[in-house]
Amino acid sequence: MDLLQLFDENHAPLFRFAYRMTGSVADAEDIVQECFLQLLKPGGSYDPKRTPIRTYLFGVVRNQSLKRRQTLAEPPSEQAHDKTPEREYVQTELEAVIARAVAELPDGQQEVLILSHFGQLSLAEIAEVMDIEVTAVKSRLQRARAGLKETLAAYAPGAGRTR
Amino acid sequence: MNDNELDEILGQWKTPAVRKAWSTDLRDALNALEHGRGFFRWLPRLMPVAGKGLLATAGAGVFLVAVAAAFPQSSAWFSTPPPYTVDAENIRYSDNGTPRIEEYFTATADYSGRKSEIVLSATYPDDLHRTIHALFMQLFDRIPWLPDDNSATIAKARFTAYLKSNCAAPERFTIGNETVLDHRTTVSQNIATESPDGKTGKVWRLTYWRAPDLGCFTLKNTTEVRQPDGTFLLTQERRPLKVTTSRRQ
Repeated sequence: MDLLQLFDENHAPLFRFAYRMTGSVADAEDIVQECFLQLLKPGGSYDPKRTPIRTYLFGVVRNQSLKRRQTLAEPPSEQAHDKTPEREYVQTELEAVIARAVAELPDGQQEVLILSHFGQLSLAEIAEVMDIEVTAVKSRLQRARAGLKETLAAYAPGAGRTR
Repeated sequence: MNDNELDEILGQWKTPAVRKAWSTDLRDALNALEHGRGFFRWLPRLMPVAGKGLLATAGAGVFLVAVAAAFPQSSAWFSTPPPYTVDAENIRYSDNGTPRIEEYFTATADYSGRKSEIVLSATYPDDLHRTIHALFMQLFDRIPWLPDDNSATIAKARFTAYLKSNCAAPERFTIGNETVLDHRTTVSQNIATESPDGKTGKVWRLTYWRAPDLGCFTLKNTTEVRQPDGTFLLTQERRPLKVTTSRRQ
């Protein structure tokens, strides 16, 4: 697969993953750009014998997203989902609530949930991206979903709450 | 809440669409990078075979290219002239409005996107030291740098996007269009707390007249400083004298 084909097939899901991790369009664009440039760097870290390319790309985006969040030292629910007036994209109230609930999950759980539910990665792929055991992925996913069921209970269909 | 209900709720968390301009620029940049890599890939393999002789020849070649770029009139066959040049003068205004010509220069746009322009020659009527310094700087400006890193390709892609936008810089307001020396320009303006020459402590209004057909070259600009009564006083002006188009264009 050549680089442009790889870009065409993956830049949109990677952007969505980065956006959900950082809550910022500008950060998500920078992260995806950096991700593809890393592939071209001489002596880069990608080893096709060890990791499938898709897993590698999601792994780079994950690492970059976590780095950005550490730099900001502020959870994405605060720094991006609520306070970015220049964003062209307008979230509904429910979307903001979901974004905040996911952002408030412990770090490992948040990534697992986003990669699994929104990125449609398998448990094995997520394990590679995060460099943990499949069983750990499974348990984090279960805890994340259980946590969200509680946090978002008021928004369940038929819960009697209107938006 | 059951699993299906949670999935239904999570499904409502949408993301913004990928910006077309961003993805197109990045794709173009990656394409250029990949081809650049292909072009230079043979070099490391060739070097051990050819040894020091090739290295010396390559060094001499780079030197000649640099000299030819700096002094194109001495070796016109060697270098490609820029598509156009602009002769202009920089004028400083004193507090009472008296003008003083600070600099005459000839420049062109930097189509690599690394700099806003390339100065081909410059003289400072009242400052011989600065004129000599400018001569050395022009030598560096005109060395044809190889597209050897990612930042160069990204700079080029951003510059291309800037050209496509008719020189509308995101950090400035476009306030209109004017024709300067027969070239249509995009006029943009911004308020700054630092002047272009690095002064601080006041508020400046900067206005630029950039020509899309000249690689967004700044044909004219003005710097004004805000007065206590809120009006702006002109302190500096770039005034274009002549645009010379290359015969090869």
